[in-house]
Amino acid sequence: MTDNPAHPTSLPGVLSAPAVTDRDLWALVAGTALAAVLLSPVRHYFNGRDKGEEDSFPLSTYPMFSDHRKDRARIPHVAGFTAEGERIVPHYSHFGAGGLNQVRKQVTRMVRQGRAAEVAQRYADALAARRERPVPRGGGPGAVRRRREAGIVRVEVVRSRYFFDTYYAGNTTPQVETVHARADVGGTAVEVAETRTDPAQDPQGPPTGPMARSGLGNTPPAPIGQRNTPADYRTEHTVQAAPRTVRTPAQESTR
Amino acid sequence: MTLVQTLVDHLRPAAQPVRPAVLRLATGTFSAVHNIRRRDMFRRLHRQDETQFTPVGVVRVLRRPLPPTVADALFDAAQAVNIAATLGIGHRVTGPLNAALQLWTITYRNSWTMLLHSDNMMTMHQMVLGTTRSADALSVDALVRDRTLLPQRFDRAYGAVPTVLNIATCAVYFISGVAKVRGPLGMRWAQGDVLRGQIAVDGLRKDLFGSARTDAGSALYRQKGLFTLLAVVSLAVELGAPLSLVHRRLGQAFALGAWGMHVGIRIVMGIRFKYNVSGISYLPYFPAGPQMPR
Repeated sequence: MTDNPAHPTSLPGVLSAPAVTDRDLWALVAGTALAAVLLSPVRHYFNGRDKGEEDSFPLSTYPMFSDHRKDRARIPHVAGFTAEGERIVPHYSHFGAGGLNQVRKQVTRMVRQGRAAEVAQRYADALAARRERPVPRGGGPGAVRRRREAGIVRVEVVRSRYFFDTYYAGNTTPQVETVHARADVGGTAVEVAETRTDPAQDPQGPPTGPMARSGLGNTPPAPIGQRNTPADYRTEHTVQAAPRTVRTPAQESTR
Repeated sequence: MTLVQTLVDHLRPAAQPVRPAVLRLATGTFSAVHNIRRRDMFRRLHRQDETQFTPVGVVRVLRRPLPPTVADALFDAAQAVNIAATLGIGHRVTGPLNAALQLWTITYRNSWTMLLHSDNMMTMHQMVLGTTRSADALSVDALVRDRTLLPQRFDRAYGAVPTVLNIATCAVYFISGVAKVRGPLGMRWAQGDVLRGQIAVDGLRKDLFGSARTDAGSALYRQKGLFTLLAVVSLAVELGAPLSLVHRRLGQAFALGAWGMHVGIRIVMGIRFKYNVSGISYLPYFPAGPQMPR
């Protein structure tokens, strides 16, 4: 501890703060410099640089919650289908570790890079590996999810457009959906190029949305739990890409 | 009293070593529990597809990911050193070493395509606590050196630690606020449409990746007025964060507002900023122990 008279090492009888020393002044300078470093990412909001590209750790541009989504979103993801055509979303952990948002970002990146078949293969392999294990009993959310996933026979990597107002009104069918890859569980993934649309939805969005154009024949949203099978879609055009099969290394078996 | 004296007394009050010691124990313990519980996740992360490796920050020194066993060993070393630093064992060595290891392991965790923003504050706080005199009380070092856990002395170095931690906290919130008003809508972000859209897309993503959106988020989606209120409060808290350094009461009001904001995010979006929701990130606004009067 300090023996400097300006910084007493014990207090009895000392009633006021010690005088300012050079050490305090240097500490103020260092603190100011540290504050400047910590605030330095803010410059990217004034120099025209992309805040996402400039994001880092631990000095971040904190871009979350700042993008304007308007009334819709196109989201690459993976959909599973049962033999009866029911659509079931497989859990993100079938792709990898790191949490939902990390998996979402990685899937988006791979689809953008033209690697959708690898994504489909990874999910199909993971679901096939899960089949090797007994279907869990019980009423917990994990057990319920695994029982539902046990019925998945095919996965598709899709990019789907949803209108928020329609979705949150209960119609969970995407307005338009592009299929990039497909794989049977236990099989081999192939690239495809299909576009499916829901004819019941106005491509401009529902009349409640800020981007909507009214009077274009919107229909009320369907109740929850309906309109979520492939039969609900109209496939406008289907282009079978040159088949490209993909096998990826077996995924980790412990999740 | 001169301006400089006033400034120094406010930012570096002469306080007892218990003040930063409480913060070291709280943050270090939280970090230990938080990270050890995530150990399996880190190990799986270290074994990911190499093409997903996108190094950020200090990890940019690497072109390729570390061999998984090396990354695992660094993670485990970080946890062991963190425990030593939190207990105040050889803190002059373990403190800075812990700062470096925490920075490395959490940055490495963020180097796999997705930058998360939930560990920034905790990492910065640990770096400050590891490189300052935060283990002169309530530590093994204090017991060995002073034969007591609570040495009765005052020094400005102890009072400065909470200030530095609060500067880091302020920077996080202030930049987040600037990000919003420098977006396409500018100050109209406060109308709430952007926030509402973010909550909508977040719930949608959860549904599409096999998780579940929150009931609160779904129920509140139609309440446009509520989102205006939430947006105004968020902006006030974030852009007003620097004021929290001006006066202790302002700082405590900011802490309560920021904590409430994170609790709201937890309820509406299901996003857990655990360090913030725990309240530990705001402890520096409630300094422990006496300080010498001005």
